[in-house]
Amino acid sequence: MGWVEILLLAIGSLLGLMAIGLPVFVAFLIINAIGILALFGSRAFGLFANSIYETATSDSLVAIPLFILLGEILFRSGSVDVLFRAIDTLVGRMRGRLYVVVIALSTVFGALSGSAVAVAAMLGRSVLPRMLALGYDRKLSSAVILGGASLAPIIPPSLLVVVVGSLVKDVSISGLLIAGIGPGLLLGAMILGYVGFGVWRRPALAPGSPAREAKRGGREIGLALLSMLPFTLVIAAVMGFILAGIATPSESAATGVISAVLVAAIYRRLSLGMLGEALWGAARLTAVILVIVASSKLFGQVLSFSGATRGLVASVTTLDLQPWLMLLIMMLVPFVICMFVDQIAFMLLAIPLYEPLMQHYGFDPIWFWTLFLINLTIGSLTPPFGYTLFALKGATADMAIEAVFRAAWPVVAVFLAGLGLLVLLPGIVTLLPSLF
Amino acid sequence: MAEGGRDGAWEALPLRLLDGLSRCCAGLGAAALGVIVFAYAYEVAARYLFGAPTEWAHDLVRYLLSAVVFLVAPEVARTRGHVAISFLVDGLSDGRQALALRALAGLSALAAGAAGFIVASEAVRQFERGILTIAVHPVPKWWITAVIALGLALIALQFLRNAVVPAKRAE
Repeated sequence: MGWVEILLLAIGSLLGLMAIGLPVFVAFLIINAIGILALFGSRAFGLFANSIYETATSDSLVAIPLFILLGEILFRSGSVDVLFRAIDTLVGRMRGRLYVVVIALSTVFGALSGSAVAVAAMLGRSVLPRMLALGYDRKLSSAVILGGASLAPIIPPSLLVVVVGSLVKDVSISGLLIAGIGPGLLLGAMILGYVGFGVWRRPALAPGSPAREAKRGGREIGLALLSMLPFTLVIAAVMGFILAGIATPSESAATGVISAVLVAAIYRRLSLGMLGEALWGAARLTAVILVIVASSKLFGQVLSFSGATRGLVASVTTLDLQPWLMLLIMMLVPFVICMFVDQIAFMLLAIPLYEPLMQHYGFDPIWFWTLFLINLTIGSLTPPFGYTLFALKGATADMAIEAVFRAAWPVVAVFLAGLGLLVLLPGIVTLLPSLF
Repeated sequence: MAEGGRDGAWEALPLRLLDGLSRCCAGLGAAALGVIVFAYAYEVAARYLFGAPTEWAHDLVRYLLSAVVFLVAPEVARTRGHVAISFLVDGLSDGRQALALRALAGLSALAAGAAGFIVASEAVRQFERGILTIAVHPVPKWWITAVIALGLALIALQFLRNAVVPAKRAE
């Protein structure tokens, strides 16, 4: 069997098993076990067991449960409500102010949580009903929440970054995390620009501020800023420690958790019950994500042992495509496939094939993997399959999934335009990592 | 009806034991996450405040991560919380959907059971050969491998019970 047949059979079978509804990690277990059996026989099953062992005891992946726990503590303790009220006060009076509040809030949440799903669910439950009650446009409100929530996996800390950073060579997780700051801020500004343009074109999309809203003086602004101060503790404990080289991403995630507990205590929202719920919620989500990562690790090695990876790279090399065209193809594939396939599953499937191609074309690894991650984030936003979409739908019972889909498309367009900018101006991604 | 929509007749002792074991393992997994937080926070403090980094924190945390993943995963399987692409199954009529879910749970049980057997065999091999982890303070490698095998075995049993007595999907 040639490498083309092996590659098509492996990827086709994997996608087929996922498509029929098998849990993603089970699909990987089946393909990997069959792959090892076909290539080496049952005597090589030790490879299968050791691949799961190596992944489940990976030092770099420890950051994932810790980043999740950090967000769980802040969300479950209600500490983020303080942040919401402070930003609400700081934004002040303007037409469509709640759109601005959501975007500002999401950007700060992005620095506190690595999960778009958590932010979408939280904003969908807390802010969206208030926006609708005040007469804000349903579609634009949902779009802003989807876009804002999608900043979370881009602005560090990011769960997807940790997974990619732990699987690829020649790139540090710290560098990848820091690289997300520029694109995250750029995309936040672009969503703001999209909202501003929309409201300017159609003022009916946003009601004016009621007088009672955002009534503020110097004292209110000062108090709002003061109430936000404890959150700088979390950001300093995570990003500050990474940037200063004091701690590894996993260690800084742990210090971030301790500071989140302190923040909850400062706001008098700390309780053993809340900590227990946060631990359980984080452990559960960790198991869901990392059992897939542990089950999938061998897939890349199976492709490599079979010669499929080498064949693909050799074949693509002989095509002699322009680097920009290759980049376009490599970005288009996840965009299309992630409309239907879970983005973590796709990421784990694609990384073993993408890594040698990226090296062959000489793309900057930090730049390339950041573009790839943003593309996966877009995948989570693109109908019909996307966790961020489902999280918003789940949080708003009176909204049809079709309405969420309609709200998502403009955000997808904004993110794609942002991705285009990052391709043209790679410095937005690479400048910060190069400084540290 | 008992929890998860199960028929009371099926709530036999073995099933309750399975659920109890899954919940107990999940509790241990969540507790392991708490220990990870303190181990790493202590490591950073010991290194920078006291100038005396620990020799054990990194190894302990790595071992505990496998416990978090594989001791909690069976409870996730019990509530059908694992990630699956369900649009094809969701499009089926109620009767066919129930049948498809049972078939998928049965196939998943076979796969997870086979994976558990392979990993358990490796744990036995590691035990017989006295293989240790590569660490500052090595421990028998089979300790960790056995936890992974236990997790996969419990996942398989939970999938099997979902094939026989379907549970409701997790919230």
